Amino acid sequence: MTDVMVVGEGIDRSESSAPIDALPVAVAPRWHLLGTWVAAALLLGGLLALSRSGYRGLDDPNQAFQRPGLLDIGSLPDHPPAVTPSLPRTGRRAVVFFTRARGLAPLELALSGSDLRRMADVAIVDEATVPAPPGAHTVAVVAEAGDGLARSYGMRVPRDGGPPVGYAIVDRNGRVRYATIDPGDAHRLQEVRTMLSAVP
Amino acid sequence: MNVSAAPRRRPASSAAWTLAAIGLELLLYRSYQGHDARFHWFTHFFVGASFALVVMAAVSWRIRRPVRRPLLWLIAGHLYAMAPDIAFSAAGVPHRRWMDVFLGHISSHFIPGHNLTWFAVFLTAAGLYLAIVDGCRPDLSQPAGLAVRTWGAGPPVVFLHGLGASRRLWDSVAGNSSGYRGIAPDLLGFGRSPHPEGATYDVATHLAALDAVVPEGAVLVGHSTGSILAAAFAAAYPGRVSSLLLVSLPAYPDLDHARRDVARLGAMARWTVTGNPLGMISCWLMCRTRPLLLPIAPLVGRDVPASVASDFLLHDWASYSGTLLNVVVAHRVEPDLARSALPLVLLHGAADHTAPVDDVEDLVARLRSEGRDPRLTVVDTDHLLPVRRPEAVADALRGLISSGS
Repeated sequence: MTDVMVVGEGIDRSESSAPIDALPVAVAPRWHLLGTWVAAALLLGGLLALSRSGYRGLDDPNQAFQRPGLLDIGSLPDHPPAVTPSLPRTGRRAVVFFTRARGLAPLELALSGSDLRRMADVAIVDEATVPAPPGAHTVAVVAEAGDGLARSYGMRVPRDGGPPVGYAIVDRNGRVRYATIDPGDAHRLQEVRTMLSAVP
Repeated sequence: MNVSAAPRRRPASSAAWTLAAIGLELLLYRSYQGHDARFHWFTHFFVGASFALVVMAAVSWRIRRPVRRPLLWLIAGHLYAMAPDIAFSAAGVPHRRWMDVFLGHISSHFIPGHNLTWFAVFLTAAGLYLAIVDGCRPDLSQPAGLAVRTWGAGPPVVFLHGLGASRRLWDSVAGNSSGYRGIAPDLLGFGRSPHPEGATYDVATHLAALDAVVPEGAVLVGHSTGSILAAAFAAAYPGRVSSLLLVSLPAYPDLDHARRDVARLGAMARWTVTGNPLGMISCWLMCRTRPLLLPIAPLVGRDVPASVASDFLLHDWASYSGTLLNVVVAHRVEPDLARSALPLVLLHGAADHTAPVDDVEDLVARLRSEGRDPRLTVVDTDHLLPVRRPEAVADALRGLISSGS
């Protein structure tokens, strides 16, 4: 009985006198195994290439830094310069959005229907070269032609080399805790709120 | 033991698992909103799946066979690697450095090459696992043990299936009977038993392989070709077997009769008996396309259980043609039975056109004239008696066991 190879299905092992060198799963032919590997390589490689092709100029050159969901990533500034005379201020959290001309109106609209402004001071830094007249916006909007403010808040330079579109979160002590490029920020305020809630 | 509840590997089930796995991964992919976040799906899939594949490779190496449900392992690895993202999406929990415990959930994003590196790691891990699985294939150049299924407790009963079938032919009989220890091997070259290189698949080859499977004092139950082998075993190993139950026995009186009757069973049998190369070519084609045929075999063989229909594809040309020519056609069962004084019961279908009942009735008459006392029971069914009328086999078996005890 030493050579008996017992297949595992339905075995009452306590009653079986045969050794249990189970072979319950048949081994596929070699070409089948190789085909599985090639199919996985082609399928996943194709999907990976497809996902990479979707990256645009507004995205971070290093995808790992875009919306990582990780507070205190890298070395973020301790006391960035003021965006407005009252932002940031000690004891109050702040969210600074960075946008370009076409993104300003949708972002402002999204913010007007959000409770984000109750949770923190909010400001938008826009790439516009001409400041808007007072009262033209429902949120504090600062025009800046360059990307000096963005860099001061730890924002990274997008692939197209222009000013970034995204946001930075400042805690009550005036320290930048999160900064990310996010071209779709007007649609993802929930994510901004999540990160803001985790900041003291 | 509960044969009816025993897990069985079916192609349809594998397809369902694959579809479910793909569906779940699509849902996970969609949970990453925006094109820029999909980067994370790839990172954590490659990391989690690579880890799972390495573990699978180690387990397969240890147990010498592929793991069951490999897709479940991959999904489990992926879910573990992306657990912080699930916490973020579902409960608003931001990432922390300690979350690297989830297979480097944080750090894995920052390695050089990013997802391309992880893709390479994944392909390497997949190759490692598949190479180990490939190495688990039994060495078919060496005669090895037969694949055997056992169940129950009591006096041993060994069940031998017929040409092209497998041990699963006896599932219905096992479900209809109890009070014995069932032992059902796949014959050499059939089902999941080895296919030794150069085997002739004559009676002696089969009996040598069965030698390790049949315990002392066993009742031998055979169906069709299996019943020829059961009778031959009883004759070759006197004292090893306590009684014989031969179901649908092909009892051809002579070689010409055997050739003629087998040749009319179908194109494949005719080509084999007449030496037509179409037989070998057809069988070779079926072997090469086996993965494609396995899912549709149950649909074609609707008159038998799906497991039996699928297992019909597991033999090869050598085992099929060798067994058909050397056992069914060339071997005469009558001398084996005449030589043995064991209790003998024959069970046959009245509508059996594969092994005509007339041949068996003639055989019984001749054995009686030689002083043997075989008992023949004819039931209203065809050649696939163990599948169609398992209770008849169970009744006959019960009678044999009780008379022996």
